[in-house]
Amino acid sequence: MSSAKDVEMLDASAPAEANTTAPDQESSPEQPQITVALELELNFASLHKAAANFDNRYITKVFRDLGSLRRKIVTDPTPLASAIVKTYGLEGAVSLRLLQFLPTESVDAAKASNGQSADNTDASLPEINAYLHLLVQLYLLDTNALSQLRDLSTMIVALLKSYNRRSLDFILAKLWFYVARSAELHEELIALRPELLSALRTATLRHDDQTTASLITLILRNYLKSHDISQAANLCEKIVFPANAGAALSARYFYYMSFINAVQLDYSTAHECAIAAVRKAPQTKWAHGFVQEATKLKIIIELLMGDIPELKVFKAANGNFEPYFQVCKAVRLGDIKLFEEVLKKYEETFVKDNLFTLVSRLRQNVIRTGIRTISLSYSKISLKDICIKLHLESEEATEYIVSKAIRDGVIEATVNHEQGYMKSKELLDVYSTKLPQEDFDLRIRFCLSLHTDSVKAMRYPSDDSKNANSDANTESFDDKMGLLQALEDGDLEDFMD
Amino acid sequence: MTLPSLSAELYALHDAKDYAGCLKLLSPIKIELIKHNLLVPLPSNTSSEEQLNDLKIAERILEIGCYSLLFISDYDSFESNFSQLRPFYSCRQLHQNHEHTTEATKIISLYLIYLLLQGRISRFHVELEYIVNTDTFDVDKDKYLQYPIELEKNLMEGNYIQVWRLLQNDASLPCPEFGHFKDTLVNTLRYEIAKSLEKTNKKIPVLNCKTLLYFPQEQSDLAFEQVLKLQLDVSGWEFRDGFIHFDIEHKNDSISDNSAIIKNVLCYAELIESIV
Repeated sequence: MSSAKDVEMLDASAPAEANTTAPDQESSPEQPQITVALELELNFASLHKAAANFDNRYITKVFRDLGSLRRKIVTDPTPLASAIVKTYGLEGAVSLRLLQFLPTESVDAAKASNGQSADNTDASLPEINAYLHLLVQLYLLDTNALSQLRDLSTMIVALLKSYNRRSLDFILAKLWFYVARSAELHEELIALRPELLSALRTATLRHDDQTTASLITLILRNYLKSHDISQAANLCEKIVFPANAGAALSARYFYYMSFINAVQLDYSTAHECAIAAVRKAPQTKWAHGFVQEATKLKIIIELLMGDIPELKVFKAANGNFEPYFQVCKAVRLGDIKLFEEVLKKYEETFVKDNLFTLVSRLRQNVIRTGIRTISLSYSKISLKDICIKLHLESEEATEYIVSKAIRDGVIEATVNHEQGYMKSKELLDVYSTKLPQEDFDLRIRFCLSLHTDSVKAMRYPSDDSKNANSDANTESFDDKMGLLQALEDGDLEDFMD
Repeated sequence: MTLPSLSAELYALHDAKDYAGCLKLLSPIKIELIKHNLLVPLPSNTSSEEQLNDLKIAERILEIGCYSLLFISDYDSFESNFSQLRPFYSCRQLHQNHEHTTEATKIISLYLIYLLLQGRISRFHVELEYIVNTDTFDVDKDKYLQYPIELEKNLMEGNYIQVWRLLQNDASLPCPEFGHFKDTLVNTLRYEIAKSLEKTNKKIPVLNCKTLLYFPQEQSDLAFEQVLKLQLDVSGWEFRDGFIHFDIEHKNDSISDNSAIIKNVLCYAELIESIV
């Protein structure tokens, strides 16, 4: 949600990208062009099937290879150009429109190799049209041709409005994602809002869950980028996030929700959302940046709730958690001086992570933990000693602060004003109260909802594909396996950006 | 009447501190502003230098409206007027980077204090998040914005002595307008302290209680009791032989709550049996 996240996500993916492209080229040095062209052909075939069978699983399969395809096209866009020429002919409106964005030399090469006229039956298929737009969009994004990308975005927005086909849903969601990304790179966040909101309305009316989910996350991100929390909160009240959206999209949604709730001081909801975001995030190297951001947010929310995160959170995660570890340490020790030092020292990091306001709220937690430790270790202590131990300014201030802590239920104690001491109450037996019952209730409810969620999360193939299967051999076995594989990890590619 | 003459009149009334008069003018002026497409800054009316100047005048008119509403304590209208001002403040063309102590930050701070008084802390933080993160304002160096931030911090920490100091010292008020909220804030502060006191002490000498609540020492005990009962919610307090006794209720949690358990168990059964 912050620009920091983009940087990190890109950082995280950049070295990995370099690693994967290198072996690709080494393994097929003879003629990469043919493989890419072939791949595009195969993908077109899948798109045909998707359109014919109304089965979006084929599109998921196409998107599974999008990442590697995208990297190959950046190095050499000629196959893409020739695919466009092949599909729409040299003079077709669409091909003229798209080809202007690709480098002239590859367009010329493509024209030379595909002189003959096009196969016009394909041209009518909107799926392929949208897919080609997406590929050109990705090419421009990867080659950093931002002004061209903006021109293409306006075209795509117009194009998106003209279609209404369920088989397009997945591609539309992707296209919107990159349209929004391009607006973000141009810092035209506010200008894009009306487009996004009207698209959200259309998508919701059409029950197009994938696009709805994608648009919701984009709009939230848009609001949060301009720090318009109240707008974002208003939006969240009005919308229902589609339950069957991809895991990657829901992870994003939960991350944004977590932040919005944390700002509004609703820490327990924020904590739930942060946990969901971390758990739902794909476990691939592409998503490291996201997981880091979400974990940072989670740590701060836990601290604000008065919990101390476990040490393994810092150890297991890769990435720079040092500032957060130091904050944790200060809160745990209840050392206000240390806390202020840490805050000053790492201010830049917190501002960059967009968590500075949340971290600075922790000041009162530091004092409270301090008071709690004291009340646990002393049954009776003078206010003056507390004042010295916690580096507070005066005895009077200490009395007010201690009594506020007692009032908020941080400690169980009484203050004797005349003699100036604080006396801790005897620990009472919790099992004589309703507390264990309440805790137990919470856990049972958690288990039950976990069970419900797991049942909900199971996927079943839709009815018509079942029939197709029983009709036998319409799909080959390989095809089916490929689809299943794609279903399993199809969502992951979302996190490469 | 035309816009220039109306606004000239409004400025004059504002300088003469005739707030009711200002408010009478406010609606006709707003209608004129709408006619001239100046009530909301849009990309279409912020391009030329001339338009920006007009918008600055519109902003000033709305600011005067805010002050006037504040001084006659019409807080609901103050809030809605403030939300009309908000687009002006977030408009980049009107407010260049890092302005120090302008009318804008003054009004925003007043709004923040108002939220604090209403106990709308989450709204306060939402506003703060926006202000801290936009580069239009330099929060650290702005004496107006620092004031509500300090207030909130100390109120939340329970550092009431600091709050009292902020309120009491007229010199520490960044501008006279802030004084408007002083009485209400002192009352809120006393309420908070009283609530803490009754939770933490069993009994306390009346004399010490006066000091803790920042009432003058020379006030008679009877008058003190009257004021307390009038202003603060002190129903559980008992004044006896120079001490205040707090009626600490002993809530007995240990009684098992059978009906709650039954309700819970039925709920589990329902959840287990339900078809997902």
